[in-house]
Amino acid sequence: MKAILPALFAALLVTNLAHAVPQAVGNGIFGAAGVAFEKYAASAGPWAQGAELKGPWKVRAEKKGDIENLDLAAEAVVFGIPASQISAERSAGIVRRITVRFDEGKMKSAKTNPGGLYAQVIANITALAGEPKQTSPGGEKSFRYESSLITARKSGGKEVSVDFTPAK
Amino acid sequence: MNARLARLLCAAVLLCAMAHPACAQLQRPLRPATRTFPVPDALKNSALWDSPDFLSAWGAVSATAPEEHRNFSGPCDVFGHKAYSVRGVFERGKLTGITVVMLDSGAWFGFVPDADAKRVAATKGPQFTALYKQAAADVEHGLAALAGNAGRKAALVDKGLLKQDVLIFHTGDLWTRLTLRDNQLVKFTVTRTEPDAVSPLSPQRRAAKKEDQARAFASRVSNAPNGDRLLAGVPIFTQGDRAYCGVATLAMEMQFLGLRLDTEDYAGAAGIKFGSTYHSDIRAVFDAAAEVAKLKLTRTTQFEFEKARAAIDAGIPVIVFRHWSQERDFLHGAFAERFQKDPAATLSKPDLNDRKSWPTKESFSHSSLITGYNLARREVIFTESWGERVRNRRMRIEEMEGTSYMAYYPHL
Repeated sequence: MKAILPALFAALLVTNLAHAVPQAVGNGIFGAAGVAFEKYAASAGPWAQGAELKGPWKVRAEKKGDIENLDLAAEAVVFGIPASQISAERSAGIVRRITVRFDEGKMKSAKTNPGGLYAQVIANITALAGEPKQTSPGGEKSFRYESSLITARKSGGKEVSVDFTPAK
Repeated sequence: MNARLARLLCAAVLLCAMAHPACAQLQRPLRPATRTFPVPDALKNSALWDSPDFLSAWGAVSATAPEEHRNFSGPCDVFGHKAYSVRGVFERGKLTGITVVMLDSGAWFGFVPDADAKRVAATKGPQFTALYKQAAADVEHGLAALAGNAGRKAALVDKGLLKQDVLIFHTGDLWTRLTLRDNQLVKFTVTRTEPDAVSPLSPQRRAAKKEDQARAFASRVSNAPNGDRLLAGVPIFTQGDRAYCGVATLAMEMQFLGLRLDTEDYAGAAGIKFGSTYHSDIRAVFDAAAEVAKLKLTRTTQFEFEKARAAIDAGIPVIVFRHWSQERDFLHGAFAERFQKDPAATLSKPDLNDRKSWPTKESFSHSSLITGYNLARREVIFTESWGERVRNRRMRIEEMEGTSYMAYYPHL
């Protein structure tokens, strides 16, 4: 037994060391656009009159008044977290809002950190944009980054939504 | 402002910039010129190694840095094969060695997850084996033709896991060392001198007394006004889409400490085969590398800041194996970017929520190189094997301690 234990320990250690992260992991590139989604959504690019949204977007059939809704038809990692849905609102040829939804179920850490999605989203936005400019009584936090206002809120028990709107 | 005044102002700014000591150290333009690697001249003619035109393809090199590594900016075709990478080592601004990786199984296969290892080896292995045989034969014949003889066998490393028999060629007025690792690697290193070709250690590590080596290491520590204590000149070897974070980090560490072995040497020795780390033994390679480098290697099963601090103060980076998640990686990358713009930005002291979001043993495993620290800010400064954009990122000491599972502290 004395001989087996060190061998077992060594085997565990080697197995653990053997995994590796390839360089391509974590780049947060969406579709063929070639940029991190949060960088794109925070830039002035989407908000200009007549701007074409980068990436593959699909227009929803239903329309509310002059507002059309579009969904990103690609997987995307936003703020380092896999998004469950990304949609945009457009009216009169101008994108008014981009909404990113996160679902705790899509996170690898969901088992080890249940309920931690909102804190993770806020921590990651803060790392990029600095402290929030505003916090509502309901816990909604707003950040200013580049050309956008970024607002994060809890959305149901295990979901978080983040809105990008043009900064005024 | 009229055009003439604008031109004068531009010229004045340029002259001031050129007169600045930091600028005066730059011998070559910041952006490397792109050109084809000149074969066979670059393999046999040392005069070419001093020509401004050839040197411009390596990018900016400091005339005062003890050692710097640069990649050749253009394509490289040698003996009928396209090279994977061409890297030069510069000592105080002088090009002293060029390593050309012709074929590497990790690069050819890309990252292969454990579950796919057997299938990939069975389906693509034979094709790689044939390619390896062809590349090895062509490069060996090519170098023999340049040298006018079949070269001579030498033991670059004579024992242990990194044991490496090589072929030494005297090509023109340069020396070339050919490394062939069966079914794994074809690479050669060209040097100006024979001792550099036959030794795995840098001239400084071969010749200097231990006290002088310690002084040389310590001289590479710099202190910034904000309290950063940083190691200058740590090379970054990009792992690419290869399962090489551990061995690339080891190569970055050991090259900085004067051991002239490469990422691909360690990968082969560790048993990383056909793109997979399945059944590889990276830990043993760390011990073997330290032995060849004539260094002692302390290992702990968790990152210990005080030990790391002592190592950095002595001018020696520390290797950390840690749990890694994409979410936390984003945070560290984003903060590094913000810190560049706002040096007053801080990473907040981790609270319970923060700690819950740290990666655990269920996450990926990854290795990073500790290249500095800031005691007042309670940060460790670390560098990844992913390129310059991930040099000197920051993490709270508590997080590095809380997410690590192994750390290596080399010392003389």
